[in-house]
Amino acid sequence: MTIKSRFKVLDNRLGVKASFLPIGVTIAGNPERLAFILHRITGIILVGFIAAHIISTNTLAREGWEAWIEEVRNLEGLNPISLLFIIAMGALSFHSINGIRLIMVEFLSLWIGRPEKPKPPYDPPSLKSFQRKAIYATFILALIAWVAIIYVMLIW
Amino acid sequence: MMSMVRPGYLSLIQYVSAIILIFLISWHLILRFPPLHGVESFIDTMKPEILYEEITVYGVLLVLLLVAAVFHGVNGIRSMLLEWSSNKYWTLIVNLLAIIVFLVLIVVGIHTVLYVTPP
Amino acid sequence: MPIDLKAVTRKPPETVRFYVKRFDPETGRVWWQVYEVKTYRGMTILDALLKIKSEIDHSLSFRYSCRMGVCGSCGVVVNGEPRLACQTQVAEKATVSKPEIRVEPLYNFIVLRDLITDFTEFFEKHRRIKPYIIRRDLGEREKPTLEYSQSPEELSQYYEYSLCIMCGLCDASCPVYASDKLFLGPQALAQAYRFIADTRDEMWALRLEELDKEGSTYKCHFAASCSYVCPKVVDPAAAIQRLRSILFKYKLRLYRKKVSNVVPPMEVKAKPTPLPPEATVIENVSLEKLEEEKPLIPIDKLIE
Ligand code: SF4
Ligand code: FES
Repeated sequence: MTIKSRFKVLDNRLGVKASFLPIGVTIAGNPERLAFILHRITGIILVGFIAAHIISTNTLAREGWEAWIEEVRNLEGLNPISLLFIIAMGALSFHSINGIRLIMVEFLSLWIGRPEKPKPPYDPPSLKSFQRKAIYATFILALIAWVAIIYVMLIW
Repeated sequence: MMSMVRPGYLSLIQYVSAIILIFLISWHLILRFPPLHGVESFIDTMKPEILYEEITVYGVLLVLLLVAAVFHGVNGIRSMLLEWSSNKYWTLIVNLLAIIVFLVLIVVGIHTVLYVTPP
Repeated sequence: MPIDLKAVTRKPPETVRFYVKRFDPETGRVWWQVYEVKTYRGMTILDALLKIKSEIDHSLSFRYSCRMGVCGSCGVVVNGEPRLACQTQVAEKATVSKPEIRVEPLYNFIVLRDLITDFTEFFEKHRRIKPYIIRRDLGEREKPTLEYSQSPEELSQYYEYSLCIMCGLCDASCPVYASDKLFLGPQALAQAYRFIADTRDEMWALRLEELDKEGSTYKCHFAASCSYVCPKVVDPAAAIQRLRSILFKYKLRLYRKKVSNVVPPMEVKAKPTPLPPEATVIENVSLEKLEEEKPLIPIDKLIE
């Protein structure tokens, strides 16, 4: 008889909820985790948007320009469809600007500092290098880009 | 089969398509800026004459944008779903669905570019 | 994890209430148990747990060994953050307005009893990346006659990553490790980079092939929680990003690694130290000959 069959064990895996909640860390100390969560959520939103966008622009090949003009009218003013469009644009601005940071960090391994000997106050190099400033810049720039898109869409 | 391809290449294409997308999406958005076409509002930039010219002249770029965006999106969701379970059937279903969604969206998008009629 | 020096040196509240998440392997029952502990200045969570065990409840089980942050066996979750129990002050977590501390077993591990978690999977994943130096020259590796040359700059490329004590806190905080059973985890990947970056190692290609599979390096998305919780500032997040860009270079056949040569030990190459100028040399006496000559009194006689 193995130990596992005689005694019960408890699986303490957090599962999917760790992908959407900052469990185990604080956002103030680890904004990368917030960026990770938002990147996932905006990515899911954007896949939905891209599918809808491809299918809706297909109208002009399927049904001609009359139907297309009808469809574009949906984006005029504030209504449920233009609201969804605005949310997708917000997701797009965050996902793309954070994406630039991720390309630099993950693809080219830049902006994460160089390895160093630990010394007080024991901040890991990757959490105090340029990448950290880039996160705060990402949040600000994404907000600016979103406001600019909304301005052009609704007020111009 | 997507599962046959070494994940390294898929992941590499994921990042390369991200780099392509950053440029193409900025271009795609800037084209909807009203003063560029000398029109009044955002809605007017999607007039049939403007759009027809755009699709016929920049068709190749639009298709590249389509392929990059759909690959990036579908592969992103696929790898996220594969993370959540390592069951054999789940992996198979997710991979098959990813291929189907990828192909369907590409076909629909290319159809738009090829079969657009003059206004 | 950056340490708040002010909070660490503060005096903790008189008594602190400990909520410990407990698990009984025989019945499978999970419950929170409350203990009131009298504190003193400088008390760590581990001290408090030991005090509970010796004075209040002998059945409470947890794992520890060195009590000074070296062995890495006392990882627990304190107030929702993975921590070494022996490196966390009670004063840091309990305030006068809220003298409570929640202690749980590590997330993402299998719990055997109370705060004890099973590290089999963790060590298995660590073993998968071959955490040792591999040279082509097997004879030289097993019975070394020469030394590997390595400059201080080359050492500094991986020194930080070699400080890992395998406490498992990084895996407990990783959002991908939480759901993906195939993911190797920050600890194993950081160690893989440590050996690939080491110039003495020659079998980097073997390791890179292992890491190129589904569910290895590519699953990391830089949430950097591992670097944030690591008690030894190993910075696994940065190691994994470097590993990934090496992997991409390797896939495109652009990766070249500098491997250090074997050199004779320093003592062999070094010239003998010259005698000081004030030393007088006795003529007609050669030192080498003196050494060869038999001593006047035989050695076995001397021993008697
Ligand atoms: S990398 Fe840090 S947190 Fe992870 S096991 Fe090693 S010492 Fe612990
Ligand atoms: S008891 Fe050894 S690290 Fe805490």
